[in-house]
Amino acid sequence: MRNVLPLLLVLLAAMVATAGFIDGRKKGNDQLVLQHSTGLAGVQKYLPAGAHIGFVCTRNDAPTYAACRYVLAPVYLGYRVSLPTDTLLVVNERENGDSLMQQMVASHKLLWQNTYLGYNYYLIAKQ
Amino acid sequence: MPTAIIYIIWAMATAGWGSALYFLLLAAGIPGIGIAVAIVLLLMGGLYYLQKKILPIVSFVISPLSTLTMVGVGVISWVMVVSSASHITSYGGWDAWAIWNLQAKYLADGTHWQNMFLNTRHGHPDYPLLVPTISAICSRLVPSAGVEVPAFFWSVAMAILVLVLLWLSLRPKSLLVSAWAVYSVVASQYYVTQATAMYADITLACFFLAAIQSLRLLPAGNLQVLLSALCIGCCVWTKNEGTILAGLFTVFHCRTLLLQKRWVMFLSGISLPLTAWCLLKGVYAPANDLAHNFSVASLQQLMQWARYGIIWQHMADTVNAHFGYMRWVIVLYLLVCLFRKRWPTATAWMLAGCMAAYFFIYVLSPMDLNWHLVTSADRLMLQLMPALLYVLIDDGIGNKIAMPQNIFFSRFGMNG
Repeated sequence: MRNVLPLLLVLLAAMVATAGFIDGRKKGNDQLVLQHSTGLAGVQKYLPAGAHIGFVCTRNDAPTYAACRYVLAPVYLGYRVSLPTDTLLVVNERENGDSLMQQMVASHKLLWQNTYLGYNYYLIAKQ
Repeated sequence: MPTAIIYIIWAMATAGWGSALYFLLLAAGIPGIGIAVAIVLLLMGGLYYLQKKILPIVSFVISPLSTLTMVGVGVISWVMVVSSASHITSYGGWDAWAIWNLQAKYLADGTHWQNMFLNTRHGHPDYPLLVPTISAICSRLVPSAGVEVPAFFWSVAMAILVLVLLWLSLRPKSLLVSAWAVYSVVASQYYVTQATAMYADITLACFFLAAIQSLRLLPAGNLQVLLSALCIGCCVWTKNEGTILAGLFTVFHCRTLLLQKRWVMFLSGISLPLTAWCLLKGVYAPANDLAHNFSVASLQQLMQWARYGIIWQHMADTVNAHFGYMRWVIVLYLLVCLFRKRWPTATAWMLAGCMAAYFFIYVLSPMDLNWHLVTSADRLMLQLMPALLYVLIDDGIGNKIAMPQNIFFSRFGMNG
């Protein structure tokens, strides 16, 4: 039994550290993923599990794409508009606003939208 | 080998086999309840095999760990808990949410998991899946935890286990040296940051260290080969670099691992993770970006001597910044070899070979060299440093083991 103690101690320590992690997560708002997770709250009910949708964002920003992809997984986000999909997720950074994106939103059917911390989020579908 | 290390390695290998089994059953379309039953049977089978087949072989006349050793384990664990608290981020580092935990989220969906292989842009769907599948299994058991909580738990547990394995294996040889080795690693801010980053590098480092310890601390025989193979198989299933490490490990120790019909035990040990890896690479995963972009023209980079200088300088800077203690360990080790008029051991040469392999990956890399070095060199060093530290200290101290005599050692003889 004594020989199992080191393993049990390690597991106990990891659990204590994880409890701290869970507590720390409730207080922090420090990351890109958390920001877009809040911005995209509510869009999931418009997306069936495993859906394939297109993705467009200001300046084709890779971190924004990666963060939104993580938030919405297992939905698949096709980078840029290369996919022949009917549904698009548009993430527009207001400070560096893109008028073409606004035109895209205006010319499609709006399914859902949200605004959070300098970003406009739109879920749109072809008319 | 202290029995405590066998328990630790067996637990790690069981987790690795569980993750491989999960992926295989997912690919076979087995429903979630079937996967759960299979994993429970695997755990029970592993426990039975350990109790009935493994532990009786290694039973000691005088077995228990000393109180000081136990206190050391407790101190290591406590220090890591306290240190990690100030490095917590909600979703880990970039690779955690762009690669590892992203894969875990897909793998936690029994129906649409194959969507993950479409994420070729700013993602690596070709990466082996040990860490993500473990997070996915836990996430399916406790959906409210998501994938980040089990990923963090696993990441910290592996980081503590590296230190505990160093402590338990070196403690019998020298209290001072083992304490210094553990302190050197845990005092590194980089190590603690990586412990909480939810990456797979420390997991690979832990399995690789365990494989080497299995080989060196157990006498020649089936148990030695089995434990080594279990760990090496898990290395392959953890990261692409694990395949390189496993290959070099097997080549440099082929006499021990493969001759005299031990290849049967070796193949048994790597079977499940290797099968999962073959299925992943052969059926589902797209080509690795490095391999895909590699061409004959890349071979011309072998003659670009400036690349060698850039890579060497960056690696030296990385060692100085994050693993400064290794400079002294390497220098002292070489001096000891010189004094004893002995060549470094096969395992030390193997580790040098691993470093050389990583070096030439950068020489031949089709990507922008500086970008590639900045984004990965430190983590490649992290994968090797615990094993290098252990091997050089163990070889440097030699076979002076202050352990009580027992049936195990008197029967098989002490082999370092």
